[in-house]
Amino acid sequence: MAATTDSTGSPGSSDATAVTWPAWESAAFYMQDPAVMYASMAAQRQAAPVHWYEPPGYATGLWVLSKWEHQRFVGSSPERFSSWYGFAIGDASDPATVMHQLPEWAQEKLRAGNLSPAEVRHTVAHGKLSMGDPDFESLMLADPPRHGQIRSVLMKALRPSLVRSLKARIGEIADELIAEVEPGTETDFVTTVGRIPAALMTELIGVPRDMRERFIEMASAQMKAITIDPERDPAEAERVKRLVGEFHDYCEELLAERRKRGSDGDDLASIIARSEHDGGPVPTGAAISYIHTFVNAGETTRGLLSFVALALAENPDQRRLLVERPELIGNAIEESLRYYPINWSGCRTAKQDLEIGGQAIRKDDFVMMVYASANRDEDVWDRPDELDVTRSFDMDHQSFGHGEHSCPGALLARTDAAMVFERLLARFPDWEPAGEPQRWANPFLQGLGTLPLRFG
Amino acid sequence: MKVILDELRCDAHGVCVSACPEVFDLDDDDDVVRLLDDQPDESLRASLVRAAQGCPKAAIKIEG
Repeated sequence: MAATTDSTGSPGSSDATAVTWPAWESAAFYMQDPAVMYASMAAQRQAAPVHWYEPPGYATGLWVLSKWEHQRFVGSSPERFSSWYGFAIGDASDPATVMHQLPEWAQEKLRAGNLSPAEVRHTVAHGKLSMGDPDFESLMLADPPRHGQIRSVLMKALRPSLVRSLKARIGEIADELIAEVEPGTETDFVTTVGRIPAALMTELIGVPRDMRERFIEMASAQMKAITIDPERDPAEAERVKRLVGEFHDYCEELLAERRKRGSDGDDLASIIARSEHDGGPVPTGAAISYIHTFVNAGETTRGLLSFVALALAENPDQRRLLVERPELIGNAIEESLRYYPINWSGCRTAKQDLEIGGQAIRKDDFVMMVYASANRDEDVWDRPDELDVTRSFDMDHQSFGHGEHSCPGALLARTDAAMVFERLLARFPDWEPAGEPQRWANPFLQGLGTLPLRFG
Repeated sequence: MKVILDELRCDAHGVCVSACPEVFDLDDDDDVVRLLDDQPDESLRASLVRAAQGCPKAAIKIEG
């Protein structure tokens, strides 16, 4: 049934009152029991698959797309949907509520008051990503053809042949960190095995070994900064801003050093140092954005590993199946991605009037694809709420997005996770929950702050 | 039926190779999927559609 819309674009009250639908903008929503979250999403998906939602306190509303099919259409149509005007729900916040989380130059642009709602979203998104640098050029906010140009430099450091050649090194790092796990006692997965991707990422970027832990700390702050959140505590916002500034300066130094020294290495810093944009060296704003992308990948892959470990702790029969049939581990990673995605949603802005699922989307409307919902879409998945490591993935899940902006690090994340769980399951065939996991309070990216497990 | 692979977009995920190995191939040292046959037989249409729909980068198009 298509929801009716009134003159303000709000859903008719008749189908909005029967169930509690998700408060998409609220961090509290994402900290609930997953069963509650998924039931709430399913109710909206079934009653109003294309739903106009106005988050309380937001500058503009947005369309919530819950169905796999609609998300595939948007993802594969960059000519109809722009990424320039924001990519996450928080980008549509009322700027007055998030101003203090943005650099001064972005605040000035917003205060001038002459921007359209879409331009306001761009300024918020650009400001929060920028690490204070007004020349920051983000892959996430770029549209074709520019997007393809800047993505190609990044892909040199993520090319499949290179990623596949990393397996041995991933195995070594995994062995080093898995050795820290003591069987039979409570272990926090996130800060032990969960460190593997960030450690690997520092090597892929070209960060010297002695800077590893400091770099990961600064990088984690940057991860927070990309999710703009009106509810963030001011002292925490200040800490994040300071670390992000330090992170920017460190990246600049690293690149300057690599440019000066010259390098034919396969690490990202060396690749950037010898790559070109428009016939000249890669500008600092874009170069730093590449490093930022890698850094995010370290943190989101930590989230991936944590959720695989959690899903297998909650489903011991599935874990035992993997111990017996390790050839299923790759498929189990896909199933975990579908079941507990990291990146819950992605947004675009319509470049023209068009229709989706019987609803009239207008030019400049903000559109949110809820990947977590598509991953449980009854029209695509049998028994969507069951974890089944033998499930067929003829139809891809949405956890890496789809189309032009799909995750450039997907292969690396998959390779990383498969290697880690091969090693972990061989060393510890059993693990169980040893306490409640702590979820990130984040309406865009999901991860675990702690995951207490007991290995045996 | 004509198959078009956008090589600039392809990230060599290999979904197409699993869906339709008659038309797509990928070795460990390839960085882009190889199109073995750009005018494949009509009998492969169903698996080609799965390859195109499954491509994470939407880099495959089928014409005709």
